[in-house]
Amino acid sequence: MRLLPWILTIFALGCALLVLWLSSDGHLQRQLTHRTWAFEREQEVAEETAALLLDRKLNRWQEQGELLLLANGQLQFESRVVFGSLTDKPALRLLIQGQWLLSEGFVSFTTSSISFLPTNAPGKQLLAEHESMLEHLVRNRFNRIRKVMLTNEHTLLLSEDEEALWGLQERAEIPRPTLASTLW
Amino acid sequence: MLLSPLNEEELASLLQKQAFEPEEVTAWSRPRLRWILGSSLLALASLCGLYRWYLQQPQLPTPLLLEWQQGAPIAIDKPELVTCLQRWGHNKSLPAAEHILLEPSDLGWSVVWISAQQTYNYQWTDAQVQACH
Repeated sequence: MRLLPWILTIFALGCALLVLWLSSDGHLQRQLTHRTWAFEREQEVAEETAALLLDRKLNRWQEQGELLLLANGQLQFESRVVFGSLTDKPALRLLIQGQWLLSEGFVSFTTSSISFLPTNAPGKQLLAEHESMLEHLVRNRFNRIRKVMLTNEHTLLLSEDEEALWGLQERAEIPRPTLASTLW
Repeated sequence: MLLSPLNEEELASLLQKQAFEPEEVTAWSRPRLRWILGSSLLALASLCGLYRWYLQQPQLPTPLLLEWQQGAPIAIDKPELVTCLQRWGHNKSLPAAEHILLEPSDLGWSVVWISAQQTYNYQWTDAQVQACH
């Protein structure tokens, strides 16, 4: 009976600290970091800005990529992009490195470097003609502040007013063959 | 001169007893009780906070088709649209959807197809949604 006040105090303080921690950005940040978030994106409508910048009518933007967020605020985004135009299908590999910041349930992405590698001849030609414009286009699509929502442990939704909803899913780790399993 | 039925010694003893007698203690004046009540209130408030946090946890509602409105999912009861979207997903060889989210955007409609393994993002024109509907 003499210990009752102590037990109650410790319990109450523990609960209060737990509520503070769960409601903080730190908890959400912990759920987002050190996981690879994968997505596939396909846009089948003509985008006027892209057409203007790249001097060609694009009718499809197909992308498959991954996003990695580190606890120190750094991010890496990698994707394979295939543009669909009336004449050819330029394909590129896109790598973005930059920073991310989480605040009050919103995440902001900032790029510090963008690099492209062509994966086919039309891609090489597109890059030779419009690398700078492509960089503007990618930066404009990527550098945004988006609302974060984890719908379950493995699905992440990033939303922004007037922009497309972006769904990502934690990539399931596929066990790679080991040397032992390969040799035997 | 005031006459008292008590003698001087008895009177002194009575006054002394009264002076040193502890005051009547109310329940609230006990520090331990105040401590217990304070801790209980804090524990109760924290538990309420935990429950509130649990209720605020984002969870997609059960229906397959949801419309994203101002950052929150809203269930849509349109079986023909669900059937059409499922047929479209089947034609594109997409895995079975756990949820399909629709959100109006500048370029038409965002369609987010959430399956158990992967999430797919598409952009539909208004005409496509109308045709499906």
